[in-house]
Amino acid sequence: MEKTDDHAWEQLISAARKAPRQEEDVHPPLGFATRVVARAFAVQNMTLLDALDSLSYRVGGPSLLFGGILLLASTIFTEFSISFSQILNLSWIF
Amino acid sequence: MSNDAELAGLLESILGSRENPRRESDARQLVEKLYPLVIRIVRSHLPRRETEEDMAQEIFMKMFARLHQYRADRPFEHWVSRIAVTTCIDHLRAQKARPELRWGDLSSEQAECLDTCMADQPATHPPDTLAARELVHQLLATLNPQDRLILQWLDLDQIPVEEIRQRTGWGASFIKVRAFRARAKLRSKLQSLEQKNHGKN
Repeated sequence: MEKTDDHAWEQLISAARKAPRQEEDVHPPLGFATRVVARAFAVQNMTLLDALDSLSYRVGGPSLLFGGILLLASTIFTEFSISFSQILNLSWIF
Repeated sequence: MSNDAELAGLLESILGSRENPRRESDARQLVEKLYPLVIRIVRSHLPRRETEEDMAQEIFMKMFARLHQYRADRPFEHWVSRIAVTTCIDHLRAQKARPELRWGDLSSEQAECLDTCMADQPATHPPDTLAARELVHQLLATLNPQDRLILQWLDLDQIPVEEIRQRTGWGASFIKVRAFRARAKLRSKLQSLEQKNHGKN
């Protein structure tokens, strides 16, 4: 009753290929390139700022901690050295 | 200046110093140069519910985000077309449900065209080419995204396997095997369409 379906597909596709193609517009819409580039570059800049941001947290956190420890140590050392010298001075008086 | 040399110049400028005053205008020029290539791929594989401009924009955004990964050992246009193809396929996959083609959905021209193509006797008049084209697109839309893309390029647009390989990055044997299986699926769809129609009549 029917030709092979392979042949049917061949016939169909060969007819489809002969269909006149409309002249398609392949120009970008007005302002398309400007919009895309602005968005792409904004994302790139954001990424750079984010990287700097996370770097500042990474570097800033430990350095703040280290600074605090240093300050505490120097305070203790100063206080200790004063009281020690005071004790020494007192012992010298008595 | 050749197209490749011009593209290479634009890429060098975009990937170079951020202080370069021509960087943005060169990037815009790159988008304008590649737009016809991208929009043709988008139009042939446009998922439902997506506008072609949104798809094109997404493809260019991906292109700029991955620009530093591009290696000059293959043409830049092939690299961009792979991004475009992958993006379209991902969107088509996300749709999951593919339209089913029923005889009742065909226009009278399409039904007549299908009858002519499947008839045993030589056709008295050639099938309506526009109806055939619409019908082919409807049939292709029932396939999975990769099969649809391969058959459209190979059978409808008659693009050689080698060029499809370059555009998609898939192997030549993979393309041929997928095309073979996709034709088999279409054959069975055509057969069931025709059988259901004869069942009705």
